[in-house]
Amino acid sequence: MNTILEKYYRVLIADDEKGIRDLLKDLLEGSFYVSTIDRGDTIIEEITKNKYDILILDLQMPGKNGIEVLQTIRDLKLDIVVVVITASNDVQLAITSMKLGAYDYLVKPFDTDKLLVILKNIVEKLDLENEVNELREKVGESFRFRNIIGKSPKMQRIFATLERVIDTDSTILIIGESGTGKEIIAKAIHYNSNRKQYPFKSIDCSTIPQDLIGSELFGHEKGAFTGAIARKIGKFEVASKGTLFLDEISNLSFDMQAKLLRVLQEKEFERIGGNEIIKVDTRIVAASNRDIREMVKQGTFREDLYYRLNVVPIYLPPLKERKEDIPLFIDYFLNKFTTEYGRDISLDLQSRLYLTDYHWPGNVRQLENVIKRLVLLSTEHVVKLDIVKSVLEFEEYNKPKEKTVNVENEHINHEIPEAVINSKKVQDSESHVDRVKTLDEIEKDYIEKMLKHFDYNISLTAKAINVSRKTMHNKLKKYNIAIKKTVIEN
Amino acid sequence: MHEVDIIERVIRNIAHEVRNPLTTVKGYAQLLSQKNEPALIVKSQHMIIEQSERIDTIFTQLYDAFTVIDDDRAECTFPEVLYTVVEESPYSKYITIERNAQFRVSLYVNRFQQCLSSIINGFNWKYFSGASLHINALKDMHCIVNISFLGVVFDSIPEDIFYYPFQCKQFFSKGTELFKVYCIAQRSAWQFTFLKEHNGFTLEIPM
Repeated sequence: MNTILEKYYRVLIADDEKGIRDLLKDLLEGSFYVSTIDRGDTIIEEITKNKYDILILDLQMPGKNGIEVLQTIRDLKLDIVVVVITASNDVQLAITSMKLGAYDYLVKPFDTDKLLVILKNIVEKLDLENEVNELREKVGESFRFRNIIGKSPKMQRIFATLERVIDTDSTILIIGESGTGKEIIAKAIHYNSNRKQYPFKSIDCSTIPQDLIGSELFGHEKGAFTGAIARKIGKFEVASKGTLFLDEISNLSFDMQAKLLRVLQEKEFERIGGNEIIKVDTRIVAASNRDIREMVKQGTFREDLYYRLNVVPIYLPPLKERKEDIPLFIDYFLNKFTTEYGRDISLDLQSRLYLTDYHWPGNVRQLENVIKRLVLLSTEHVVKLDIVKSVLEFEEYNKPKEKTVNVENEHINHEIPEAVINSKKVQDSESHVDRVKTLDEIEKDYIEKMLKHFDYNISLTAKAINVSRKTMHNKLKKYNIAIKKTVIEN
Repeated sequence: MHEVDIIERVIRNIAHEVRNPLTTVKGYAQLLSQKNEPALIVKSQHMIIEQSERIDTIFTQLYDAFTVIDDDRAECTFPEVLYTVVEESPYSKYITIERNAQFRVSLYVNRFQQCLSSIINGFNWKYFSGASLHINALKDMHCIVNISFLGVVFDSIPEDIFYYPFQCKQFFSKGTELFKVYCIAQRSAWQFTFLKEHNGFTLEIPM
């Protein structure tokens, strides 16, 4: 036992028999921190005053019997594992004890080895729980409001709103452009709330086919449809007591919107193909980069669901509207990627100012990518403005056109990247050829720089610029770029 | 209750009581084979002997409960006869006696005092520090002695089998005190009852 237990957990032995108290103390001391108590009515006071992990509880004691003690532990939700020991072999007592939450039950005179095995299992369980709690704490810590980058007044207002509703069960609707950090805010809501010890689950409604989304959300029974070879527990059930983040909720079909509305109203549902009504207490945080109110007007989103979701609306501003936060993000990502890739890279003042003033159509996600590339690609310790510009040019060229929400005016705008506008101007007017490079030229320059940086290693270069090896070869062929390997001469 | 049920219940209570010292004996014997520390060996041997003696004591107490002393009827005065027992008890400061009724009766005085002493001194005063006891005696067709406890609740005691050995172990330190009173009462043709509503016991002695 001594070799198995590395940690000292605190054990309280509650038995009115001095012989039993002495025996268990002699048996367990060395592996645990052991205390004893000889009456039932002081156990609760003792375990609330001094933190114990395990209680070895005799059922028949003066003052308060063991069953009453178990009931109180359950009622007060005290965090302690209870092993019941009793001289009675009444089966009903054993059942009652287990129902009241006892971990195990031993009838006197028990084998001490048996008790040690039970305690070993408890220690393993406690170790695992502690590990999970530490990990959860670590994850939670990074999502504390104070650790989320957002010093700008707009973000501070959001945090203040969230602080007020954090421990309520209110549904929260986050509206914001792509890349503004909607999922981070959803996680922050979860990890700052009193649900943090329960699961946080997320589902991106835009990436899952509509015919599968029901099964993802509500689960299904075996044989519910072709391919349902086993029962599947849906995200709603898994996240019960916790938080379910429904990203891009505007992509839900009308039919699925009706089902979601029912769960929000009734707090119950049935798995697909099942009859059992499953009750859940799951907090919903939904997000969208589209103006759902506009969709309601157009009849593509249910009005009743919109109002159910929109209990606490949060409008996440695009990065360009919170420029105060950009230098903080730059430092955060620089630190993150230099640590991750083991590189010593910094940005000169001009680069910092340029990045801060940039309009960031792809928001925080784009800024993160840009800093990652700068860290990966820079051959100098201090990144200069020209490198920053070329990376941004490449970013804009590759950036897909997307709809964005102007959260201030709540109108849907289409933003066209400046580089694309510029390239269109180039195509439209040949007179600009000398002054402005074509997109192909920008891309060719960029690929050549990358290849040089990675010593003409095609795989590494392709990985760095986020294209496949095949695409890379096509580009090399298209731009007629020759591969020059460094030759080390003897 | 059927005779077989009574025997089953009594055996169950006795087994329950014996299992505690048995656990200690068994546990220390197992500990001896696991740990080879001189101090623990000495302690284990001591505990094994002590707990074996305790098992013997349990049976001695049970046997003692059955053994009722020979006694002759004698005249005595209430409540003076009560004072004699209470004044000898180390717990006398927790006990009050009602003085209202004064009368003389003829009874097995020694047996009666033994009953009273068992209840008074057998009660687990150590665990129920706020408890006190009130005794009153009255006479009509019978002499009735009521022994009521205050500051402790006997809710968990079953009225029909309260006197079974070790049934009230959580309130009485040996667990055989009430059984002893019951045995004496039976042999003396008295009535010994537990009254939940009075949180105590009554001895009814026919005149």
